[in-house]
Amino acid sequence: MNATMLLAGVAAWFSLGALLSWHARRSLGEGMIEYFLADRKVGGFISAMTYSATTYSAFMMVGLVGLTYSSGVGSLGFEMTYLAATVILMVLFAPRYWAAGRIFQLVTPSELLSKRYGTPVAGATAAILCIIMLIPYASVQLMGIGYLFEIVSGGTIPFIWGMIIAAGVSFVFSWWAGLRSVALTDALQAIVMLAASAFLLWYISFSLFPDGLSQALYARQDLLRLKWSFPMFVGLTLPWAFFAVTNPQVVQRLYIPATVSSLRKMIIGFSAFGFIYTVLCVLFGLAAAAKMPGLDKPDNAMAMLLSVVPAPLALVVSLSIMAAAVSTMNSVILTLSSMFGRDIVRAFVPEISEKTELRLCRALIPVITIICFLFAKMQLGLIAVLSAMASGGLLMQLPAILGVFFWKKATAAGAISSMLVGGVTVGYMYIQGLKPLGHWPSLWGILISGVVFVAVSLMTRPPENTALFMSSVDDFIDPRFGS
Amino acid sequence: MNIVSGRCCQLKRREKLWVIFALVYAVLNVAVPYTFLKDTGSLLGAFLFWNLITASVLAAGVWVTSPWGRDRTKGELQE
Repeated sequence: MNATMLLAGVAAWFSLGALLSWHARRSLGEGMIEYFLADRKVGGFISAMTYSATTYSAFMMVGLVGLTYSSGVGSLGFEMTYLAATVILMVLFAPRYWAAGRIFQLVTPSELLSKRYGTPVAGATAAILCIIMLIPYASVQLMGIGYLFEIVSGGTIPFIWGMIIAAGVSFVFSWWAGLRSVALTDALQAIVMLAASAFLLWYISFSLFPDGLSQALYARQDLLRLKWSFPMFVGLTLPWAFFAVTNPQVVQRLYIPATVSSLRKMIIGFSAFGFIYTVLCVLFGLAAAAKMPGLDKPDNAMAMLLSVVPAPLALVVSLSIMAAAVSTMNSVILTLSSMFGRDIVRAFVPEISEKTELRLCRALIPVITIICFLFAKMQLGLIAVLSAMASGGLLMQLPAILGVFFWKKATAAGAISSMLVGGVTVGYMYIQGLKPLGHWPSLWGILISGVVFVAVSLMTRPPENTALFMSSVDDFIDPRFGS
Repeated sequence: MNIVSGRCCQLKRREKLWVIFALVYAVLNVAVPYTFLKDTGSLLGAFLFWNLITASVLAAGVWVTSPWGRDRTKGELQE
């Protein structure tokens, strides 16, 4: 594809997104809840689309396609387990987060920990863990776009310029009108992601596999046999299975639906989106493996597939991959900036005004974007390790999060120590490449984190307001969420 | 340790069913592909199984959330 065509497509897509941001800006009010949660007045469809676009990154159309290409059907099990687990957790946690957000006027997910455990240190610890884990994750989104543009344009658009374009778009979409803008542009991007993938499947089914993909897969039956080892399946799946409660950019979205009905539509809409998008991405991996076996780099499978489809279709699919990356990145950056202001600065400077806090948070959006860009520019192998570590590291919040709603004996000391010990354990094991008994660091980390949480909680006293906190949430939920 | 009992932090009836359903799902989701379907080299093996079991979880999610937003005495709540 020639670079002019690609840049024209990006310009058109950016113009449409900027128009939506401008529209969102017109109805932007004042304050943290307005800027970061769209005043908790987002409808069901937009909530579902922003949740989907935030959750599904460029990994789906590049990484998952490559993983399927190289390792077959195990990748479907991994991604479907993630989807089912997310829905299972949303059914249990979404009402509680939604209720707690309204009762206690929460802005960030970690603020909930501060409220429940009665100390800002709990929220600050979670916020620092999230910032450490998610900046590399956001950086990888930029790197993905840099590589994609370089490959698709035949090297005319260098890696660095692809990243600059993506960082610029992400900054505009998030900074201009906060979540109002991000939610609307996410909805646009989610629709582009799904429509482009559906068109691509339709095209390759008819043009590349006239006898049907299932017929072509007779020659690649090895891909339909389960080749993943059990420890690998558990090691990859476990941290992602709890993504819905441990990744702050998606948890923050549980605060935004306007009504209970909107919250339900968000879950159902995400379920439908996730199922269709996952099946499509896995089919692309299988199709690429059947049509063009033997690639040195499996992650290039999607780029190779795009090289055999008409240029306009390749352009739309490339834009959809960029949309997936940008929608994840700007959501991560927006959430991290709110956590820095609310959970770190306000925790230690409680007298700060909301106006100053918001100004500081907004100033952090370009700062975090630049840090992500610089991280990605280094192209260190360490980034890949840190990015892979992200979901495992964030999993260490799980015991503390479960304790918020389901264990009245949980204490601040238990929550803080479990996050610190778990985070350090996982970080050390990933960096050293340790896999005791063949099992991945996240499994050992969550076991250790869980034991520390229970042991320390039993040795210390829960905050005095624990019963009040829990009964407030239950009383709010009872009449609204049925029996 | 009594994690889900007492006045606070109670799970509702449907939620308890949901947790049991989730545990059954978690076992089947791994046990079936890693035992009966491991060497089935067709789309009717692990590929179809994972699609069907995930679809059933999503469908069950629609059912379990169906009372949300409805108060038996007052009809639809505004929030």
